[in-house]
Amino acid sequence: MSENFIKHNLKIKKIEPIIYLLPVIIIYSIFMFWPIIQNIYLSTLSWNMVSPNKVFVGFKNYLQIFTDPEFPLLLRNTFIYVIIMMVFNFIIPYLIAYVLARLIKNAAHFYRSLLFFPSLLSLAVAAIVFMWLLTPLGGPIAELFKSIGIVPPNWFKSRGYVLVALSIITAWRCFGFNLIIFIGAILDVPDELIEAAKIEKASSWTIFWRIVRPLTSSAALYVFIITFVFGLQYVFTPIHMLTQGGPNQESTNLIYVVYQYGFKFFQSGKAAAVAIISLIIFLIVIVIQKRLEKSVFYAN
Amino acid sequence: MQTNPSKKKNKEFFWHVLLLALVVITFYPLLFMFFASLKTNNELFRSGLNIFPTSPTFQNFLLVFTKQPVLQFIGNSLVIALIVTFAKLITSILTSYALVFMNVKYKEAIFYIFTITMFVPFSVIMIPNYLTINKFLLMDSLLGVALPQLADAMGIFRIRQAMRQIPKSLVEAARIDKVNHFTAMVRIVIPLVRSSIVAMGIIFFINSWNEFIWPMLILKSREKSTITIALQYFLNSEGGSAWGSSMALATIATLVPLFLYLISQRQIISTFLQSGLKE
Amino acid sequence: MNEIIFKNVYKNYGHVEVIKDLNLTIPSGLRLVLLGPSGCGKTTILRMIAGLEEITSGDLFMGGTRVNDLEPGDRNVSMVFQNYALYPHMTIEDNILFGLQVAKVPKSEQQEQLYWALEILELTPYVKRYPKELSGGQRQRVALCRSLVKKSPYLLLDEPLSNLDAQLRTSARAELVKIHEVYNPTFVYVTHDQVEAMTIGHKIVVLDKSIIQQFDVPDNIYNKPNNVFVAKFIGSPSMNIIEAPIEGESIIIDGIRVKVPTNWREKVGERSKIKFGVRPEHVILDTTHGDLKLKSDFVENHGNRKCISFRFGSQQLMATTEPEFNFSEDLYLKIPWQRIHFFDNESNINIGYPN
Repeated sequence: MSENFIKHNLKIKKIEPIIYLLPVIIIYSIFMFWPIIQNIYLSTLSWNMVSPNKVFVGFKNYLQIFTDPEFPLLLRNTFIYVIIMMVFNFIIPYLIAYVLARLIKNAAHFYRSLLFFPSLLSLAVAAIVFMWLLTPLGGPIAELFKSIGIVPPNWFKSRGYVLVALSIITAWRCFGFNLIIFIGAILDVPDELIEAAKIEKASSWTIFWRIVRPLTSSAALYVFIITFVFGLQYVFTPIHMLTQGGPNQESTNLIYVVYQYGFKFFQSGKAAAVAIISLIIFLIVIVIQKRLEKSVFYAN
Repeated sequence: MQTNPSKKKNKEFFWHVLLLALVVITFYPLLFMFFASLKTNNELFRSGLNIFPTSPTFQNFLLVFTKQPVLQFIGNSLVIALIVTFAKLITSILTSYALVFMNVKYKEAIFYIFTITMFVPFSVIMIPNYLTINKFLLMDSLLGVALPQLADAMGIFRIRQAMRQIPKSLVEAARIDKVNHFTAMVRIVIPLVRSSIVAMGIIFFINSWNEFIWPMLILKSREKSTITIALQYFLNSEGGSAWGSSMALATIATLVPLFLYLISQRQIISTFLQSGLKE
Repeated sequence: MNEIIFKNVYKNYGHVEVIKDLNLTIPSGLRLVLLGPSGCGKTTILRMIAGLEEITSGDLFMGGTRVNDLEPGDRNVSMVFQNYALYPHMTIEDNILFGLQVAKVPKSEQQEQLYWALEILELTPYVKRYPKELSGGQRQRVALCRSLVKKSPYLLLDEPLSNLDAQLRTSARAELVKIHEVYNPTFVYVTHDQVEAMTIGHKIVVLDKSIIQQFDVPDNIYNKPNNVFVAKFIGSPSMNIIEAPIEGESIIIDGIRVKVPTNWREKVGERSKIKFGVRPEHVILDTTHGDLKLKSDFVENHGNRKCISFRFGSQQLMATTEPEFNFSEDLYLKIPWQRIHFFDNESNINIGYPN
């Protein structure tokens, strides 16, 4: 009787953790892991998501995408989005975080509370507000341009300008979040190291470049990755609300085009293929960045 | 021997000017939105750079509430956000507890796999999940929106981080007293990580409230819309009749995150301050 | 030349006054130790010299110049931090040379200074390693090396040995003195360890609650403490301080009248109560005769000596003897009048010594 009791208990002990992990495992299996596999499978089909006919076409979708004259445009747009967002969501918050964390004595909390707030807003709200802010028909930015003699562009209908406008909307919303992460990392650098450098008469820039930057490189890597990965996804909302990828696909990117192929042109196979391509590109970028960061010190 | 005190003060003054300018630039769109919601459409097209309304009016808000079932939108957003928030909290707590305080084989690998999923772009799972929800006959339903969002890798990451601060010996002492894991979790661990849980809860709620893409895909009928996707309904009248009312709706949509931020700002910010570093 | 002078210096943190009316002159080239318990202000004083803490009011002079408003980088000081402040992402070489690189010293001169300093501290084989590969003692020497290579006229050290094992500390102390004698900077050293203070300092400043209790050479701190605080802080085990009434010619200890020699009696004067101080190592124990007969309550064997504790009333007296001492429960104590100290019962100040 007692031997069975012990065996029973041991069994419970083994199963118990699994019970705790089960909900997440189930949810993620159904809505994350299985979909990834499903997507890979989808990318080999020619299917409009409705008809019972699913035709297996192998790599045809991928070939179609690579030879599509639209593909270079997609890459170019994606690249430009990333560059602009890197400036506003990586470089600038890094520097501002340094100022807030180390270069001013008072009011740092005040500034960071205010600057963080837009990160809690919906991109849909941001999109619609900026739409009116930038409208050439009497919006304040247009008036500002006019007052200094520049013709205000029609942001969302002009090639090039549309990428800038959409990037700025996304960057405006993401800035505060990245700022806080950088502030946290910079504050973690031991005060003594900074004081020791001050005693050696190092300038604020030298301290930033030679001490703070290397010692916050793991946070910088994290921000880089989320700016890249999430930035491209976040810009989906403003694109969808304001331009639907236009004018003439000038504002679509590798993420949004999946929606277009899937839900506008009903070519789900092609959509899935682009998704897989972008996944691979993301992985490559992340791996390259990680290798680069290993050469800068991981202070652990 | 060079420095004088005024040089140091000048430097700080410069930074403060810069930071204030940054704050103004950052807040301008929000102020614009708020004040625009109080202007008539005519005034909006003629205001130019003047941000303040000459005679504030609530007609935009009235228009919004009468032309659209705004309360319904708010209700829908609320229901989805509540379901998602509670589900995410419960799953994150259970998973984190198991990974920190129980003997799980390959717990590092499991954790790693979950965190990696954070970087899978939405475009990869978008269509398959759409098809799945369709198959479950949950298209155009609030549950269909909430279902794929019952767990969150970032939640697991942060709550696990908070639980790791608690010495394992606390739970071990309880186990020696024959307290089972569930009771230990509820009565010892959860109270000690309460502030992280609250902060994550608020973040989950706000994120769900602000969500656009997934609700847009799943919800087709107007009565089921959330307040966030309802903003689209004011885009078509680009001719201008929707300026004031769209700003009014945007202001309403912003009130919830604003309110939550005002009451929990310190917790939210401190959650993200101790972050980013992994491995 | 390179003296440091504090004149009426105050420091406040908000409304809290941390340093009150500090007046201190540190002569050029002196090895000065700031000694005291935690929270006594010694580190604050050191950091004020470095320029890492602001002075609320008063003047700080270094080498004749008023430096209150000078940035740390402009004061030409070197500092060794308690946790060494080595940059974990740089090699030992880069750590040591960082200051010279910032000052744009020519590379050849940099290397010269680098290897000169490495030789003195015997760190040459580690020059290309990283801090995490070195032991605690080695890291501490790297921190010293970094200060040495600058040859700045002021060398500030904030409890540099507190993170080392006991054995390492002895050799490290000798090394610090050696460094000082290489180029004789004005050397300000903060510690709570009185052995370090006594062995390293030319002069010691004993601090309690940011008030200077005594500023003197080690011998005087030990043999002529200004007050009860200093008396008890230096020496291990600490000096016995016994509160005792004085009646007529005698002092009464544990109910026993002990005659006080005339020269001391004159010094005591009108007082009816006194604090009587004698170091455990100066107490003379005997098994057969003495001034007092006391009952011991425990003995500690320290290997090189025995510490015996006596209790009477609410007070305790410790005595140390050679290890072979024949111990019995009842022992006689003889008071070594030439080695005792009297402190005023109210003010705790040393009343002085007869001629």
